[in-house]
Amino acid sequence: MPDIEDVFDTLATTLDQVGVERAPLFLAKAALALAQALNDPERARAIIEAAARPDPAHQR
Amino acid sequence: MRPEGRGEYDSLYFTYPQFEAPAADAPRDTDAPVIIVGAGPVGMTAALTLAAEGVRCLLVEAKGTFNDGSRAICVSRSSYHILERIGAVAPFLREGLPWTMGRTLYRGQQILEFQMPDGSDDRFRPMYNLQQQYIEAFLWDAVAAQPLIETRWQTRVTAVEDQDGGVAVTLSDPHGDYRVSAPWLLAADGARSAIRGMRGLRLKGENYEGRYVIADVRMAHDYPTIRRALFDPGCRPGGTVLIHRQPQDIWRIDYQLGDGESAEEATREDVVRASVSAVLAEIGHTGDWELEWWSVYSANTLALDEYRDGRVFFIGDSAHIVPIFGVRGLNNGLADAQNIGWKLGRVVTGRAGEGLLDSYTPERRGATLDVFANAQKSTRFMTPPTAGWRLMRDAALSLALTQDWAGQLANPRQMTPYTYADSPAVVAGAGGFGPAAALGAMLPDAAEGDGFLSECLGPGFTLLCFGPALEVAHLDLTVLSLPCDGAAGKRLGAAKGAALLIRPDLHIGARWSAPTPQAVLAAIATILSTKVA
Repeated sequence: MPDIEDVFDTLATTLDQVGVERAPLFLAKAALALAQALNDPERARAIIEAAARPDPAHQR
Repeated sequence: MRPEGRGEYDSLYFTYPQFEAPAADAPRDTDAPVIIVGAGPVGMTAALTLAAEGVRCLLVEAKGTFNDGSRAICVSRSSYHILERIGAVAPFLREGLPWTMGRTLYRGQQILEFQMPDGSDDRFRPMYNLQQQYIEAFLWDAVAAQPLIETRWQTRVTAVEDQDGGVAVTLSDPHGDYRVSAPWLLAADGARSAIRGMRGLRLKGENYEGRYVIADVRMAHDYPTIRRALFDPGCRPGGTVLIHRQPQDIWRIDYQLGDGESAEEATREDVVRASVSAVLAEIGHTGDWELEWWSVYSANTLALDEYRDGRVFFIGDSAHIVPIFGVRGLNNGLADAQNIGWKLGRVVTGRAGEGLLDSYTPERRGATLDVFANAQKSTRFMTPPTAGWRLMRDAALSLALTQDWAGQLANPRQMTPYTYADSPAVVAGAGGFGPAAALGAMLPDAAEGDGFLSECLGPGFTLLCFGPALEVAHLDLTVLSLPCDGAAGKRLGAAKGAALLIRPDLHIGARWSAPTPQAVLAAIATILSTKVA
């Protein structure tokens, strides 16, 4: 998955650049802008809800 | 509140009249069929609507003058239509400042410019700014000239009780207490309604955290009548500021208080002066200014579960409190007054059955709930209630600096009239029209001949025939024939031969692609809760 690996790297390096304090605002902007670019509100909502679910391992 | 040394009614630009209570020897009894409690904009509009239906009323008001301070300032197009229907719109057109546009700035940079729908088919502009004391003064001129309305100032309701076929109220004025009764009572006595308390009813809903100081200042400031919203401005970091122009060089400044600021501290005169000064510096006003009036405000969405209690109807703020951001408090109150006015007027004069009154709560409470849904969104954006809402609001504003779509999230969703789609006082049927002429919607205006469609309508119901006028006769009906390729036909998307039944409040009561006289008479009878004539 070279493409998503690039995105993964970019997110990690950008998060380090903006710093811990500005990280929430940066992530909120990125999520909103990505959802706008996705142009599929139903799918955006499903992705957001899935990301908020606890990890399966933690449910045991 | 007013600056030190000035009384409650000591305005820089408005002379408050003083109205006396009825003379000691004036008769106190009444045989008016309706008592209206509260002579604010809503009570006076109800009185004028009833008078237009030929119905007398007794209008009582606890105070001896108009409301202090400018309070409500935005009067919508739909309200201008209501004022036009009661013959009171002329001074509003003369003095109100029309506007069509809003600008939103984030940290000093414009992120949104919104245009409200407006065009040559509209007789009135989408919004007008006018101080509440002028609204009341202009309505009072119409009330005072109307022989069917008896007004008693400085007259307070101290008790209300049901009696057979009516309501009895105990009234108290400087000369003493007395009892009157009437078949119907309209409670237009505002947010702290005494009638509501006496009936044991409570508003239910939500209170929001955010608080605003609202200040009016007088200054020579060169900027058009455009709503300005400033998010996170230098003068109030993290807060929100709204600026509206009003007549007489008066400017309304609303600014949000921070979490740590107490309302008591923030409303002290020196603190208000310093805060206003900072806002004026932000918008580049360097000249003199005078402080006129200020108040503190927090957003609520509160309403009664039912707007009718026996023979008592609640209209305006006594029935619902809405946040200021969508400018719907006054405007919805005027729509309540008109709604109960045309219905009760017909019931009292025997032209409608009492069943018509059952549509008041669903129509007007429905409008309130619709306002709540919109107002919640704008209030959350103006005044984020939690860390999550604040973070997302800030993310949207930050994106909006470079991307237009994000600026749309800051759109204040200004007042639009509610559509009574599911009301018992509309009749579903075949279409024959486009989406602009939805069942229950307010009739869009259109340029017709030398004037406008709204000027051609009759005093009661109007049948708009897009083709030859239908041969149908009813005492409460005016029939008009319009071409379907004219301005009105085009705006409404009318098919050839289709017809619309317009109610006295300009809402669409029924639609037909192929109307018949029988169907029209049956629809009017259904709406009026009567038998077909």
